Amino acid sequence: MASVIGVPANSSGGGGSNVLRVGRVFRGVVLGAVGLFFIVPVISSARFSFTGSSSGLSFSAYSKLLSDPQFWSTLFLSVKIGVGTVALSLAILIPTTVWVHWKAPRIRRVMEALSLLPLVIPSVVITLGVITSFGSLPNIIMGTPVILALEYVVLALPYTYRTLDSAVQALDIKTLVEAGQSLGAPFRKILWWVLLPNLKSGVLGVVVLAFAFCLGEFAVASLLSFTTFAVYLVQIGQTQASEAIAFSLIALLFTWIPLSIVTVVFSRRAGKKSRRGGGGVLMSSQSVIELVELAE
Amino acid sequence: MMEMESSKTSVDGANVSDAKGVQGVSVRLSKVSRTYGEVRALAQLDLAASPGEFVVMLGPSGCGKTTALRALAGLEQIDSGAVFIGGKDVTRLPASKRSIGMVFQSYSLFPNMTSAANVEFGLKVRGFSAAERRRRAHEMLEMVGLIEQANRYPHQMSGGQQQRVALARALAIKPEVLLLDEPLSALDAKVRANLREQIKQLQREVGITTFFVTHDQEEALSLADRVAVMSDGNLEQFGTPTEVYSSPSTDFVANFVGTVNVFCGTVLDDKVAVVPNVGNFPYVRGIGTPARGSRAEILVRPEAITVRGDLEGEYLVADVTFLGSNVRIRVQKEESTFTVIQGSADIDIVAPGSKVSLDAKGTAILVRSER
Ligand SMILES: Nc1ncnc2c1ncn2[C@@H]1O[C@H](COP(=O)(O)OP(=O)(O)OP(=O)(O)O)[C@@H](O)[C@H]1O
Ligand SMILES: [Mg+2]
Repeated sequence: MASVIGVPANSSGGGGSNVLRVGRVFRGVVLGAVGLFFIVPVISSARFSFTGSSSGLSFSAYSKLLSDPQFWSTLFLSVKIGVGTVALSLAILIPTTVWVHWKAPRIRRVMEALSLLPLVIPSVVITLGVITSFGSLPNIIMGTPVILALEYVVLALPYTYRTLDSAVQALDIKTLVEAGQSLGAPFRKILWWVLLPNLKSGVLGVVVLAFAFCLGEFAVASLLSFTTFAVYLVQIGQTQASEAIAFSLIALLFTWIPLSIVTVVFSRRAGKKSRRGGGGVLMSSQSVIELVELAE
Repeated sequence: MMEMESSKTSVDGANVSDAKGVQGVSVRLSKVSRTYGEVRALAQLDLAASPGEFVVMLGPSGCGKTTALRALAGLEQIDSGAVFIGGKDVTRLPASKRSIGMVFQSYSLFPNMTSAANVEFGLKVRGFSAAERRRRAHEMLEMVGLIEQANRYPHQMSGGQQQRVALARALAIKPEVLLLDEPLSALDAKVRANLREQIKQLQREVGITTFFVTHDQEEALSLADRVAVMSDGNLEQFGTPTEVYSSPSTDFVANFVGTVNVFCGTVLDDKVAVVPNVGNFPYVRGIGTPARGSRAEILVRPEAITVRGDLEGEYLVADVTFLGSNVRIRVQKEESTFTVIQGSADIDIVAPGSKVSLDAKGTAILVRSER
């Protein structure tokens, strides 16, 4: 049996592996080129940020930055907005995606299209709309970073909604919820004990994406005259080039650290569990990289 | 894998005894209707099960079996009608408040939990202590023969094993009614037959009123105390497997449950109908039976006739299928086709293309007027 099948498989196997090898080389070249395109600016920025006024290695840009109180206050502001955005996004998106998949799978396409709108409408337009429409809102919202968080929830939708949607898609929500109900569980317990643990990858994806988005967003924040992390970065860049570069490298670290934590946690879980979660994390890490590039 | 499925067919009576207690309530659907837009999924469906009964709901795809079961479970809103469990009107109760255990067609185990944790879920919801949960889950997994798989996750188990855990999970909460919606349809034939046996045996031991949905007539006949044959959101017939098979109350039932041959003949008297050149078929008079002496259509199961090699025969053999101990022979006369099933010892007498005669051997399931 083995020999009968083995012979033709071997003869054709040579050609097959050639094709495979060419494919692998091609993939390597493409990946390498893209990698270089991404890493070279980072490295040269890093080099530049370490050159001070005198020749040789200098940490002056960093020490100046780290001792700048406004660096810390803008960072704190952005983190606050980020946490708010993340919390609000999760509070809105988890019930919504679950509900859509459970009760109204037919409107999935519509929801997806809606979630993409912020990509189609320039954020400047949205911001002007917010200013004119909600200008009369009480000062607790309009005059404070709360409005920024609210707007970021919407602007980050293209990334956050789709991440969670694909995580929910991987589960048979209807059956899981109904199985839970038939066992006597109220929806709250089904959500907490069954759905959330199975949506971990999607939830973490949303956390990372929404947070990275908040750290990197410039246009809306400056239009609404908030000096966030990104706005301050641009302000510094206008006068002090090496500080600005140091600044952006630090910002890069702030997005990479959570991303690597998520990836490490998940590759470990994926190894232990099934391969299911991997796709979601990969997807979200890709979008994070895109986002980081966008923000820079 | 195969061995695991068949390793524990028997059910340990000692373990099941504890699950007894809440079993055996009556269940009734009364004039239940449900419409989806234009589609009438349930049209005034009436269905009642006695305490401890195993009811199989059988019918073609789209006839409303799943909808009926979900209405019973409280997972589907109904437009009108009422649902009673144990004499109590539960129409307005949500699924989580009804005392039901459900096994779904698709794999429904919680992927983030081991089999044991899955079985414990319903108990955890009800606030049982951890020790009590563990004890009960152990007992339930033992009952379905999967105690070795207690710490496995769903994705580490075969489909048959997953469905058995789902059954253990459903029974762990000691529900009053067990509902199964085609629980075996995703499994291969052998596992299926095996698991079917297990479910039947478990149900008998636990004594719980059970509704089992299938569109497989063999499954229905082998499992049921009573079969509910449905079509178009309504009940066609509700009777024992023998009744449904041997004296179908409507054409639909006759055709859906098993194969029928329709012969033209004459009503001889109150007990016998005659098909020319085939013979006499005993039958039971019903409401629609034509008067004595009139022409009639006589419906006969494939087992109730035999084929005899005959050069002068009126029937032409179209094809012969070997089924193991039996052989299925299809013969033609003019436009009509007839199916005969007989012992494969007789296989030599017929070859496709040869002429044969048919002989009456059993009874007619239905005699009706010609149309
Ligand atoms: N959620 C729904 N929305 C619209 N129509 C539905 C819905 N659920 C069921 N139906 C329709 O109701 C009818 C009965 O469906 P049901 O699922 O009860 O059939 P079934 O007997 O279980 O069929 P099957 O053997 O294929 O599972 C079908 O015509 C189906 O198309
Ligand atoms: Mg169905």
